[in-house]
Amino acid sequence: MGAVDTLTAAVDQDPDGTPVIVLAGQLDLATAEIAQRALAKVPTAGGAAGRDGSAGDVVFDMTDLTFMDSSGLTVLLTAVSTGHAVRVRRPTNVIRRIIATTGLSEILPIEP
Amino acid sequence: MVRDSVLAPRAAGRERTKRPVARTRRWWLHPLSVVVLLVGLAVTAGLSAVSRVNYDHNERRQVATQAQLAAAAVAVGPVDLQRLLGRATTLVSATHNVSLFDGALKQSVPQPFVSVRLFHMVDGAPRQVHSLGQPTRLDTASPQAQDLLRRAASSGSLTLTRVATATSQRLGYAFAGTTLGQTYVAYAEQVLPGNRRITLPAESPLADMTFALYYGKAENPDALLETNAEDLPLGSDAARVTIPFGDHVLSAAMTPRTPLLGTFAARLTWLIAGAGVLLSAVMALLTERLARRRAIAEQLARVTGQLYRAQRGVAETLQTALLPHQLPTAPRLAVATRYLGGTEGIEVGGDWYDLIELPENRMFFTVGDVSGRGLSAATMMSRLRHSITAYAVEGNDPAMVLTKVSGLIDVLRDGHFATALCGIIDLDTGVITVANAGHPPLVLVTDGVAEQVVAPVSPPLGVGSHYATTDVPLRCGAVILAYTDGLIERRDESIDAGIAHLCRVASRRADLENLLDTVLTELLPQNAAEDDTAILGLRWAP
Repeated sequence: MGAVDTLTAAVDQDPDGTPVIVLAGQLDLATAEIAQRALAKVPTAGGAAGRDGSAGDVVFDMTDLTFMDSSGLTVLLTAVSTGHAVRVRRPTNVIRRIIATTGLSEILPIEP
Repeated sequence: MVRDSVLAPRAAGRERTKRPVARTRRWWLHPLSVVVLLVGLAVTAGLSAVSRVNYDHNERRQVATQAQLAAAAVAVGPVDLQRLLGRATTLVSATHNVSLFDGALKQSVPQPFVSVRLFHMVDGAPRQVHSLGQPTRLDTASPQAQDLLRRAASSGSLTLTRVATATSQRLGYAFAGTTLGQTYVAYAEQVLPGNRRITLPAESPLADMTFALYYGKAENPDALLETNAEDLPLGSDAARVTIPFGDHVLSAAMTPRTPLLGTFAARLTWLIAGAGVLLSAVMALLTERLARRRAIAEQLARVTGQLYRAQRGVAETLQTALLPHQLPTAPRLAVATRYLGGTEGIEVGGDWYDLIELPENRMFFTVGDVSGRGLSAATMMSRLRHSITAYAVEGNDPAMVLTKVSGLIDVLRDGHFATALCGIIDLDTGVITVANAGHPPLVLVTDGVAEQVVAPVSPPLGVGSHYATTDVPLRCGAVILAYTDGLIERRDESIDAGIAHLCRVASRRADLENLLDTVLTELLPQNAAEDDTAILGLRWAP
């Protein structure tokens, strides 16, 4: 199980300059560190869509993410606590429901 | 991996043993290596024996063939001598001219004959009529000589005698020629080595053999004619042949000086034996090495398993210590709990449940889950549990309790967030007031039908800042199940499917303990939950 989980986390940019963390694989206790390291590479200020007093927008692209548990949510909430406006892009239904049942739909808005 | 429940925390401890981790190095061979060595040696011995037998057989045949060749060569000798003597005597008997005898034999003296005598047989008695060469050693006037000549005359074949002393020996040949009733007998002596020793020329077929030639069939020293051997008689492994020689027989014994099949063939047995022993030893050593490596690997696996179980034991002990030891009881409330550690890793989890007695016949219950695992998660869980108790006892409603507790967590600083579901159950009215911080919903079982309690869900602790309460009235005998996501979360299906599954399984009329057992058995077969799972079940029965 955890031993064979893999996750890749690449930092990309939207055309408007918004940093995008592209996640693929499974984001859980075993792999959360990988996503955390990717998040650390994202500049905390001055993003193109940055609002005053915030660290700017960050998009987590979950097109190819098959699973996420509470350790994964911790990474997203860390970004929120850092001051980022976090958006989740194209999550699977399973992940979508995790976000909803955890009461995070407003804090982690989902892009279609 | 078999998981132990907190309800039986001793199970892990029992498996721990006092076996020493590193055993003293052993010097005796592994049984398998001994078997390999013995089999190798046995095969080597077998091959060597077969090679030896085969070699001996071939060598013996070769020696026998050589002996037959030698015998044939020796047997030719008398034929030549007989021809010489026969021609001379026939000439004389036909012509009575003795000078023809001289002419016929003058080439044959002194080699091969040192002395030749011619006898004319008159009325059956030999009378010497001529002589060539040295005096004979045989006293020709002796009765034995007379008998010899008569036998030669009557038989018409080459008749032999041997005149030998310790230092000299001669062979005497008698052969008769008869023409028109006149019979002449020639008697010739040939010198053989006095010391019986002979050195054969290198080209001789017998040059490579040690041999001994005897006059007659018996191998006794008196009868020895010639030999090149140092020690006589030759051993029993020598080839032996009997050679017809005139009216006598000679016998020859011979054995090869060096193996006739070559030294390589002779050494082959030893080469096979040596190589076999070496190979056996190498194979045994390799086997031994493999066996020891395997033993080490098995030992490592055993020790790792022990350490793992020990760690698990520690984790579970800690988990048990962090959960409430005893929950309060009330006449109208049945309470049951379950806790299962996850299969993932050996660290403690952050799941918890709690039940606190409040004034006015009310109970405050909590089920929560700190994200992640490990000591920091467990520590935060402990902190949250006690904070919630404190705020609840202060008289805050569940929403206020969650609001206050949420402020205690900083996701950035702590690296964790937590979900929690709190509620107050009024044991007089059966109304529960719940607030939810990102936690899976309550499941309500009424009259054997289970459904999830639909209520607003606010963000988790550490993220949310405002929480709301919802009132849910209970019917008599109703059961509420509060649990953590380990019970319903699966990698390959939606959390809604897990909740639906739980509702199907919980839809039954059963006492609380049985209901929880059934839920665990059905939702977590073989206790195979990846994540920790905590369940708190309450039945209200006024």
